[in-house]
Amino acid sequence: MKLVNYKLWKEKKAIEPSREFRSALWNKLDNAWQEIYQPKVFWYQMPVFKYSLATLVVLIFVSTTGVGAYAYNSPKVTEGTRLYGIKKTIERVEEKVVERRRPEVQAKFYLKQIERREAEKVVVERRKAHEVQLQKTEEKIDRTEKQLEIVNQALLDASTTVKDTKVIEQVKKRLETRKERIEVKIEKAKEKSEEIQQKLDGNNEEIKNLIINPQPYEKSNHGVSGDGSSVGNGNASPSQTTIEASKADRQSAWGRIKHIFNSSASSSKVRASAGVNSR
Amino acid sequence: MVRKREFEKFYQDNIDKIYRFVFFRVNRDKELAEDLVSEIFMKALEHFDSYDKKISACAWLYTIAKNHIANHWRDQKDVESLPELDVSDDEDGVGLEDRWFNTAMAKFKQASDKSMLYDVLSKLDFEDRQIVTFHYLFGYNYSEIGQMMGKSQSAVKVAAHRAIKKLKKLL
Repeated sequence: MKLVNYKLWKEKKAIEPSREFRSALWNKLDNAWQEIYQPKVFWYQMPVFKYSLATLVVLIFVSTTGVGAYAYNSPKVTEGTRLYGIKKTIERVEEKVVERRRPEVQAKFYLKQIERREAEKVVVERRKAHEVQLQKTEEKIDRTEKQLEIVNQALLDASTTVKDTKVIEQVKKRLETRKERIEVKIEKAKEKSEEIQQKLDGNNEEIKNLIINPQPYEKSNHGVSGDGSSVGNGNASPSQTTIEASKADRQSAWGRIKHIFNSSASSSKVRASAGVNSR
Repeated sequence: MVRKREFEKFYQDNIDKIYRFVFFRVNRDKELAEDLVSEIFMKALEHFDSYDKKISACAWLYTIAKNHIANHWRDQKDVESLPELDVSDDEDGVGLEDRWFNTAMAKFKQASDKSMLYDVLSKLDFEDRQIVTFHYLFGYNYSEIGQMMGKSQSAVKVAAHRAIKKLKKLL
């Protein structure tokens, strides 16, 4: 059976049109095809128009359905993102169009704009949550680097037995970058602490002034006029108004003192977290 | 409108098969086969837009080729190698098929070792011989042969298998 098949196959292979004949015949048919089925070419079907038209269509498509539409509708496009410019431009154009229309339409437009801004606000708040996440990640990196420091110490201890110098080099590099980062952090923390200290000094002066020279009534803003008479309550006696004013003034003074003390406490906390001793 | 790519595919799919089919029917005359194949494809191109796609493209082209070759032989009255043919035999094309095969074989016999294969082929009955030549020599698949002969694919397959068995015995 195989022999018969082989002989037939061999014979079949022997009878094949030559490549030259094939290509020549195809060229002939191609030309004939052009003559018989050549369609009438309109101006808009010419290659130049065809491609420019295609480009135009793509541009319109992208601006109406693609990026533009996304930028305009998505609340994720907020200030600081790349597409925000497109969003604002579209909004400006829309506003220009709306300006000439009925007040109802204008109101609708502005309501829609407010809604959009609110949606953006939500997105921005979410991003802030991401920033917290980022901070946490940085802390994790710090922790890992501390671990690396420990490992480095172990490596140095066993430097005689360790053969892979590449690893040591990599660790050293990494630790050097970490050192640089920490130095930058310390520098920043120092600057901050100095700032806080300056503020504190200023506030202490203020406290002293407040204790030694209590502020006159006219400086406080509690419905009391410069000549001592009450503005809000015309029927009250002068002595009564004086007592009330002094009470209110004291309260405000104590509030300010509390605020200063709180700020000084928070600054000391910051300094403690930065690991830098204040002066 | 006729699609050029469609026609190109049609051409690529059928050129080898039709060439072999024609080659066999013109006594292995390469030049004549090439001329006839060109004319057949030109005809196909002219009528490609009116071609019914329900019919197999192979079967359609085969019909064109068969008619074209028949016309060619009728026009060539002074062909030496063709034996005399009884016109009544030619009504269903069987007579013509037989005559082409016999003339082709007469030529092949001159070409030494191939003669044995064609001797054996000539001992098969017309239908078996047609199936074997169409499938194994021209390169048509069973489904295409079935469409040309008005048979099912499986029937052609079984017939081909049996014909090959017979050939084996004869060889």
